[in-house]
Amino acid sequence: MTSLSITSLKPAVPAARAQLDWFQIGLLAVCGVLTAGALIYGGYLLTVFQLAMIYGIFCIGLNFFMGYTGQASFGQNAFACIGGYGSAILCVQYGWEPALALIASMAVAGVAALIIGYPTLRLRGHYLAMATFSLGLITYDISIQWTSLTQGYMGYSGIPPLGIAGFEIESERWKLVALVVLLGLAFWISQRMRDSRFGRGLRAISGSENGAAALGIRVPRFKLIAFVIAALYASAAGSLFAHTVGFISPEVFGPQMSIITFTMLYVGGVGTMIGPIVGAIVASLLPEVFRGVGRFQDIAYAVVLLGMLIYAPKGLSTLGKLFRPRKEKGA
Amino acid sequence: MVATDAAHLIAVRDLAARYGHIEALRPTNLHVAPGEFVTILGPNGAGKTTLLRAMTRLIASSGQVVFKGRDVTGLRTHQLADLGIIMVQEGRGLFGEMSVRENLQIGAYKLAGSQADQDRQLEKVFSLFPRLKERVSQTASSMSGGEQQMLAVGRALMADPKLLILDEPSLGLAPRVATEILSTLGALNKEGLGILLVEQKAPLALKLAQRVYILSSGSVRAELPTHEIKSHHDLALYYFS
Repeated sequence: MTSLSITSLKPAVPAARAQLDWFQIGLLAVCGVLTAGALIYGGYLLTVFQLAMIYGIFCIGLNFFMGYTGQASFGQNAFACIGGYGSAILCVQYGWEPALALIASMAVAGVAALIIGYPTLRLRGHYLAMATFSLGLITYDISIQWTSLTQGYMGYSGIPPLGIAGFEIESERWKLVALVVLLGLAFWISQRMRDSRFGRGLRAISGSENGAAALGIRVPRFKLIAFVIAALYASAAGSLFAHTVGFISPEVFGPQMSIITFTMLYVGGVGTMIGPIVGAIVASLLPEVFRGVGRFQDIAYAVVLLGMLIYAPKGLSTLGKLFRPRKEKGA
Repeated sequence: MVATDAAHLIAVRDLAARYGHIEALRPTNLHVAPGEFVTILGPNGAGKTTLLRAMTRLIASSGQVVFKGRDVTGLRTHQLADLGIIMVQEGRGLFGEMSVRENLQIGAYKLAGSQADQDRQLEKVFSLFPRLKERVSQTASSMSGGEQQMLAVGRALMADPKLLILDEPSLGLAPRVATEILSTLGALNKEGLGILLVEQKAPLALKLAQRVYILSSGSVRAELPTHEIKSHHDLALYYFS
């Protein structure tokens, strides 16, 4: 094919970078204010926000696989389990540095995801969802039954707090600060990948696997890499949980973890940039907000979640579109 | 490989495909010469889309596909795209939540690492479809049907195809828009691009193409130069003969 003349030496279309709208910036600011409030007031709120940050990291990874790549996984808790137990075993039994244990556990989780994902990701839709769900159940069972390694229901206690080179973060406030920094780092890495050529390939797969393949994108390989990335995030979240709380047991990484993180992702907005962070904070805070209604707490929580899913089906972080002029909505 | 296949841009030999027990495409032979515009006509359910999907390995098939003299039968869809066989699928297959810019960038996916090549292709696409440049930040799903089809064709051109395969690009479009898009395809063919077009709007396709295959009930009923088809009556005879 003969090319037409070039009218400009500058790139005709500059590289696309995802940008936050004003509503999303506002939401992030509210999240920041709430976190700062927790830092000031301290107490139980610190724990709530620490867990929210950890779940936020988990959800950023899940968003990579589910939101950007459009695949379903109900088994990411398996990799959080590997991360949590990896950190616990390496630190408690072998005296490893927490930071090294976290990295080593992530490596193990990544390899496990590679081995499991290769055959599993040939499945699509509901079949993939069921296969990954069983992966989470199997890992949960292993964490209970393999007592010589995991100590069964007893779990592990005395896991040292996060730290490096002999320095440990003992203060609950500083733990939260460290988790906020790590969440920010996780978010930044995720955004860099999302806006890269690789990230565009993933989002094309989410749009149409056949369409992506027809343009030269290696769909199975990309899906596998996205699965591994999500596993790395989940493993990091599992390790951070162990080092923040100091105790883990099988229940922490059970199937309910998948349900909680799914809820967070859909409340915040699956496939959006800040959805995982907003969802993690909102879904962590809601049960505390409704603590005052006593035995109706769960009902109130469920009603509010249902309301969000009905009236903001694409997540809280997309609500800003409602306030934009109609002609700009496509832009 | 048949000796003459080396002279063709693409040649398929005994290509067949099934959906379960249904034989959607009976063993079919077809070829496109370099720089040739070939159209495939046929009634609904004739197997036109199945033929294209089998050629590009989007569905399992038997038979042989030869591209530029090389047997590519065992290659996957993305590997065929790497060779320059790019398909615009029925329904456009756009990534609706992505902007026009991102869709075009995805089109240039296989031009890895070459910003200059991408820019050259972008300029070309914008010169063919200026409306895409005006809507570059708009999401694909928010554009009109005609603009979406322009984007689908533009995205395919971003990949610098050697053979462009299109499955009913005029589907659901106003006649004026369909004419505009198909005329652009004609212009691209004049520049040397090989085109294989499945189309329901027969008169327009016959004006542009040099050769036509008529498909019916999953097999080729006729292969002839387009100038030999004088009327709808001729087509109907081929469809139902």
